Amino acid sequence: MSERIPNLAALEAWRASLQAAHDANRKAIAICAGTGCKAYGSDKLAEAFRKGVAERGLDVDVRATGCHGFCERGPLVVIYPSMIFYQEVGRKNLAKDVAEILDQTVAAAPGAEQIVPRLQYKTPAGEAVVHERDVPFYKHQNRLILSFNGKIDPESLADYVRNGGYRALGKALGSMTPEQVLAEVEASGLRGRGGAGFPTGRKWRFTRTADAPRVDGRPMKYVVCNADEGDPGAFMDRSVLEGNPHGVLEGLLLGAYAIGAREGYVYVRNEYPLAVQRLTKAIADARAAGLLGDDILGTGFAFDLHVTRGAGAFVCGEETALIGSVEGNKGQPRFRPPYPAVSGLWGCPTNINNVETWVNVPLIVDRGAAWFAGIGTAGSKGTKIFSLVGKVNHTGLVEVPMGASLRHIVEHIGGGIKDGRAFKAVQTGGPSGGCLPESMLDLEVDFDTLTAAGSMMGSGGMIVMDDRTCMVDVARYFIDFLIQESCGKCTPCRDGLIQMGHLMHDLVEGRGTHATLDRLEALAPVVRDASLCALGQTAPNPVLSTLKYFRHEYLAHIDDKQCPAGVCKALITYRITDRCTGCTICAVQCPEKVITGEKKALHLIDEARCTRCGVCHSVCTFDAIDILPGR
Amino acid sequence: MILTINGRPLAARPGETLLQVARRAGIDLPTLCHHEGLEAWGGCRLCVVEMRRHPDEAPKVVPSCLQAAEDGLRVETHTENLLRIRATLLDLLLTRAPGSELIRRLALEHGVGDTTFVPQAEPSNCILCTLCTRACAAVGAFAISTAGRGAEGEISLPFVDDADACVGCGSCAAVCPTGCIELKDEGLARTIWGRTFQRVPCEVSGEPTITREHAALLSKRTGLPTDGFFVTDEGRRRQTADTIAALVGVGEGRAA
Repeated sequence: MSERIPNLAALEAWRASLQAAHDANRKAIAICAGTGCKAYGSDKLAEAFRKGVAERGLDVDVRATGCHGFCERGPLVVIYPSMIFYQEVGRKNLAKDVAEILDQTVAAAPGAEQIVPRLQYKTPAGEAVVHERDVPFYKHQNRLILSFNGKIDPESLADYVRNGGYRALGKALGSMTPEQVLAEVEASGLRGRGGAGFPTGRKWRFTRTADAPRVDGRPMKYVVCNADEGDPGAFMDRSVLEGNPHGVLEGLLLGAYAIGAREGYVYVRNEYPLAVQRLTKAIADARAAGLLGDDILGTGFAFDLHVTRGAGAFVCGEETALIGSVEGNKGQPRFRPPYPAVSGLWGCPTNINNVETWVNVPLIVDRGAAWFAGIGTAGSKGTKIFSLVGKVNHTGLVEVPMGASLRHIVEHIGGGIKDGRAFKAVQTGGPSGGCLPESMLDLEVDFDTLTAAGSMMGSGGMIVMDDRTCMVDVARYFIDFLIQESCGKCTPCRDGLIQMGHLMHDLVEGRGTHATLDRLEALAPVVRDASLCALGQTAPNPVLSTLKYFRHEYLAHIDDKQCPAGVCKALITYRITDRCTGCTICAVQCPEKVITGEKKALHLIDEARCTRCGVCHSVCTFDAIDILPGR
Repeated sequence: MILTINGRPLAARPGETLLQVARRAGIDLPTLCHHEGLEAWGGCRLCVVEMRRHPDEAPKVVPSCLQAAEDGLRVETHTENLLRIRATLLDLLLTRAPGSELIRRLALEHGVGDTTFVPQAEPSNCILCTLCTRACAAVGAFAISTAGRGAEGEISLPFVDDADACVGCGSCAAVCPTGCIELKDEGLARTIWGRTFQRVPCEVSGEPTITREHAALLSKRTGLPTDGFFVTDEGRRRQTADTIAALVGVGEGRAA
C-alpha cells in the first residue's frame, strides 16, 4: 500500500489482507543484509539467488533481511519454512553455493530437503546442525526484539505490518488514553537500555508533566531516539535500526502519544550509512501511509520525525551533548538540572531514550505490561541485547532475558573460549564499564548486579578476554580511547585522563613503580567525583575494576617487570624453542635481522637487540617461538 | 529560603547559585571559568562543593556556580575531600598553564608548587575555560570559538586565521584568567588575533577610543549612531563641562 491509511480499521484490514495473501508454507530464502553480511558480499548473493530462482522457475520468495546476529559466520542464509541454516554462503564459491542450495534444498518439497553439508554449521565437537533453532548460538537465546530481524524485509512497511507491526499503535490510538499508555510502560518495569537503566516510564512522566513553551499556540515537546552508539565492539542499536526501523518508529510514536510530544529526532551516527538509509526510507514510507504527520490513522494525533546525523563523537551519546549537537551547537554536555525532561531541545521538554528502549515499547503496549514484567529479574525486566565479541567461539548479537548468567552467555551461546584457551575476564558496559573475572561468571546479569560488581550494563557491549589478554593493557586501551573522546570542557576529564594515560603507559612500558599505582589510585577518584558528565565520572572504571580484580597483574608489571599475558612489549621476551625446524622464515622476516641460525638447525634471537615486534612469532608455522613474561 | 554552608545558616533568594550565596557570606571559593556577566559554565570545577539534601545521605560533589540554592540544603565548601580535589585540579591546570600567575598563586594556596604531573611539552597557558569565546559571543562578534576536542582543543579563529569577524574590542583578552591572549596597543593601533585595527581618536581629548569595527557592531546592536562611541570618558567629562558652562553662561568653556 502506498496510499494513506485513512483509519484504524483500514490498517487492520490491510494487515488481514497481507496475512491472507501470505502462504506460511511458501518457500523463502532469507539472506542477511546486515552490515556484517553485506561486507561479505550478501548483496551479490541475494542477486544470485534471485537470478537462480528465476532461471529455475521456482515459486520462492527471496528476501534480504536485517542482521541475524551471528555475524562472524556470514553471509547467513535461512531457508523457510523449515528454517534450514546455512553459514558462510558464497564466501569461497558463490555460484556453486547458490546452485547447490537451490537445487538440493530449495527445489525439494518441505520435509524432503537435502542439505549442503559444507555450508552447515558444525558445533565445536564437530556435530553438524540443520535448523537455525538448533544452532547453540541461537538455541540459548530469547529473541523478542531481534526476532523481527531475520524475518522481515526492513525496507518493507507491508512486511512489518503483516508481522504485527503498528498493531500496538492502533491499540493505543484506538482504545487507550496517553495516560494509560504511560501507565503500561511504567508497570512493565522497562529501564533505559542506553546505559544508566533509569525507569523509562518515570522518565516519560517527567516530560509529560513538564510545562512546555507554546509553538503555534500549542505546547511543544520532543521525543528523541539516541542512536549514537559508540562503544568499541558494540553494534546492537545499529542492527536494530538496520533490521527493524519501523519498530523504532512505532516506539517513538507510542512515546510521543503518551508524553504529548509533537516532534521527534533520531540522532544516528553517520558511520551507520545503512541504518540511516533504512531509517530514512521507513520514515518516508510511514509518512506516505499516514503513520507520521498530521491526523495519524484518522485519529487526530499528529507527530513527525526527523533524522539528525552525528559526526561520531562518543560524548554525543550523553543526552545534554546530544541535544547541543541536534541544535547545531558543539556536542558538549552541560550541568543537569535542568534535565532534558524539563528543558531539552530548544528549551522544550524532551524525552530521550536509546534505540533498544524504544523498540521494546510496541511489544509492551501490544502484549501488555504483565507479559513484559514476567521476563527478567526483580529489578530489571525484559530481555537485553549484547554484542558478544572477543575471544569466544561464536561472536555476534545475543538477546537473553535479564538475569541470564555471564556463564550462559559466554559458554552456551558464545561456545566458550577460542582455541581452547582459558577464560580470563569479560568486559561489560563499554569504555566506562569494567572487567569481571572468572569468579563472577555465575553473576546473573542485570542493571543492579553489574553495578554492584563494579562494572555496568552500559548499552550492552560484552568483550570476552582470554589468558593472553593483559588486563593492564586493556585498561590502558580504554583510557586512551576516553582521552580521544573527552570533549575537553571540564578539567578533571580533559587533563586528568591525560595524566592517567601517562601513568598507564608507564605501567605497560615497564616504567611503573608502586608510586605509579598510588598516583593512579589518588587521581581516579578526583576524575570520578569532579567530572561534569557521565563520560568523565565513569572513565576511571576500567582502571578501578582491573585494579580490583587483577591487581596481581599490575604488581607483576611493577615488581617482576613481567607481563604475565605476554602482551606488553617492554616486559616480554621472545625465545625460540627446540620445536624449531630451522625453516629460516623468522630470520628472513625479522625486520631487525637479529635472528640467526643455519638451515634445518635451531635458530636464536639476539634478545638484547630484539624489539619484540612479534613478527617472528606470527610467521612461525611450527609454534616454535614462546613469549615469556619478563625480559 | 535558608540553607547552611559550613554549618552557618544563610538566606538565599530563589534562582541564586550556591556560589553567589557563599561569596555574599564572605566564603572564599576559587573560580577560573566564572564571570558574573556571563552564563555559568561549570568547566574548571574549582568551585565544587559538597551538598546534601538530607543529613544522612552521602554528600554529592557539585559545581557551586551552577547548583541552585535550595531550602534546607547542607553545603560544605572546604572538606578534606574538596581541598584534595581542588589541589589536584590546580596541579593538572599547571601542566597547561605554568605561566599563569593566578594559577600559580591558587596552586600554592593549595600546597602545590610546580606540577607533580607530566607537563605539556609546549604549554600555551590556555586552560580552555572559554571565558573568551563566551565574552566574544556576548559582545556579538562570534569571532573565536573552541576548535578540536578534548585536550587537543584550542581557542581559534574560523579556519585558524580568518579574523574578519573580530572587531578588536579586546573583551577576550580582558576576561582571560591566565592572560594568554595577546593584545598589543601602540598609539591608535591595536593588534589582536593577528589583525591590526585602528582605534578612532577621541574627538575631544585625542586619546584612542574604540575601533571603527567595534563601534559599527555596537551601533548595529543598539541602534545608536557610531559617532557617540568615539569619545573617551575624559572627553565626555569635558564635553559635559562645556555644555553646562555654555548653558549657565559662565567661564570660558574648556577651562583647565
